[in-house]
Amino acid sequence: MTAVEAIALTRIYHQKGRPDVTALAGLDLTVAEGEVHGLLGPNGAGKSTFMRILATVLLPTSGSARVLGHDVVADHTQVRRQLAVVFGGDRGLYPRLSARHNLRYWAALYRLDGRTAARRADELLTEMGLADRADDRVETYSTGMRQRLHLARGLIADPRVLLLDEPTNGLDPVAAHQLRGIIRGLADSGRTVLLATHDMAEAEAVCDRVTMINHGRVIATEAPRQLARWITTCERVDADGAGEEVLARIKELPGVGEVTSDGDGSVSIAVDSRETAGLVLQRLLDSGVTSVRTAMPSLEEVYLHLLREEAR
Amino acid sequence: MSLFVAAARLQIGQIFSDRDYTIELVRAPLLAVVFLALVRQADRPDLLANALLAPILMALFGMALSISGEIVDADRWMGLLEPTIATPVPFPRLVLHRIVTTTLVSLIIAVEVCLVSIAGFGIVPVVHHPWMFAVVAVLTLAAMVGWSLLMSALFVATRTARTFQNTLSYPFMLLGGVFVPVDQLPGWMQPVGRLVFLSWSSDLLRDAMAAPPVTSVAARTGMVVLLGAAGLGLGLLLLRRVLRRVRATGTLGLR
Repeated sequence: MTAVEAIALTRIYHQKGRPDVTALAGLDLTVAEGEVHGLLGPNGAGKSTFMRILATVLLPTSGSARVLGHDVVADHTQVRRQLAVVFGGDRGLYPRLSARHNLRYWAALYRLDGRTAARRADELLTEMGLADRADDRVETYSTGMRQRLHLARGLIADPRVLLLDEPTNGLDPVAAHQLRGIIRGLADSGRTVLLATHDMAEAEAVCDRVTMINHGRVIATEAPRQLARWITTCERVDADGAGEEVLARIKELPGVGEVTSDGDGSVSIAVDSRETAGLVLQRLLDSGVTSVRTAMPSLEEVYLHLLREEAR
Repeated sequence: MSLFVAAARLQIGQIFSDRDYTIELVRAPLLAVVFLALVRQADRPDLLANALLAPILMALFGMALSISGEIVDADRWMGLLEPTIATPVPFPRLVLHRIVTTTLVSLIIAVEVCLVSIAGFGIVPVVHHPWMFAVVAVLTLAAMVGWSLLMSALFVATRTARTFQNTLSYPFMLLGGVFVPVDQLPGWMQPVGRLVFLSWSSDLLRDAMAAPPVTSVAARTGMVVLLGAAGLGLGLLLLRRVLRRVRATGTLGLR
């Protein structure tokens, strides 16, 4: 069964005295039930707008979106019963109340009876590693603890579809890793998770499939294996102090793309595979250049690559 | 846990964890001291009901504005509005439950003022028409809930809650006859004052405390009901429209 379906979904923001902003420009996307689906894109790509439309807190300008077969505009009550949304950041919880109090309140908003709410709150607080601080005010929590509590809030009513909008944003690497482990665990429970992120490594670690969007449009939907291929394809070699002669020889190598020099002796060499990167590194080292490193591409670089591919 | 209990627990937790929200609980007894001292100094026992009711009604209205009126705006500020709207609970009902809780909590003020009167001035408040007083008090609280909902919706619509709040507070209390009965305001002000439910409530409550029989009870309580219901109806209508509008404009989550 399809958990999430968007057809030609468009959202345009009208602002007084400013040009309109198109956040979604005819987005088409299908997410199967039980899938952890990554929504990958830079800031402003349209990820959060899409999440908000699915969560029924934002109306689309045109097109349609369905969650478990229910239209997000016409059947928003049905959608809300089966879906929960977790927005990233520090906000979104009552800071002066305890974690337990927050969770029980949210449980009531999903019509859970008192006993079930108390049990679910206890379970989730334990699962998220917050049981010891369950009765402390949320304002005393670290960012990582708040994010885990956000996730617990989203799970309180055991939703079939969970939307996570950049849940690891602002977390330190350890806390982010911990949260990713929890998110991966959600997949095993058969839940559908739609994860918006701008972190390629996160998407690769957690998702069954990944959709890259930019300017409100789908660029590609692939398995993470393909994502890893994109990353490898766009790998580059950076070096300092490479002379013109060695650069000329490197440019002759098959698989070497653009070579850009920034004028202060450092150079960036685009390569199409790990093997080519190895050859480039070898030539640099043979010519006495020791300040060399390979670098992962930025999200933007992968986008540019994909857009170029698309144009071919 | 029922929705009302959850909303009540949340609201009580919110009120008592924020000093700004409990300010009326401190201000009302102090005002009662001032008003009762003035009545005693002027030797005007006929104004005792005014001295007792003024701080209570002021505080009730103050809490309605500062706490109930800010419910939606404060949730929006804390990033809670979007996740709340995304739940299956009808949002206006949730807001109403929280407003009712706030209004019930504000009844502490009546107890405080009575204690000030008894312990500080040796005056035991006497209500000559207790049943009528009770009925009008309940209707006044219900009307307060209705108008709080309206203000709550207005605060979201305008997004300038504080200015709105500060501007509205005292003119409304003056027009509501909280300090001085509306009949004693300048002639041109009286029709405006009669549009404020508090003007009918405060007159009726003062009359219910006094010995003479209360006249035109049905018509006057009817006005409290009518204006209270108007506030509630307008509040529900406006809140629904505002929510629809902010969902359409994409400003639901904005601070």
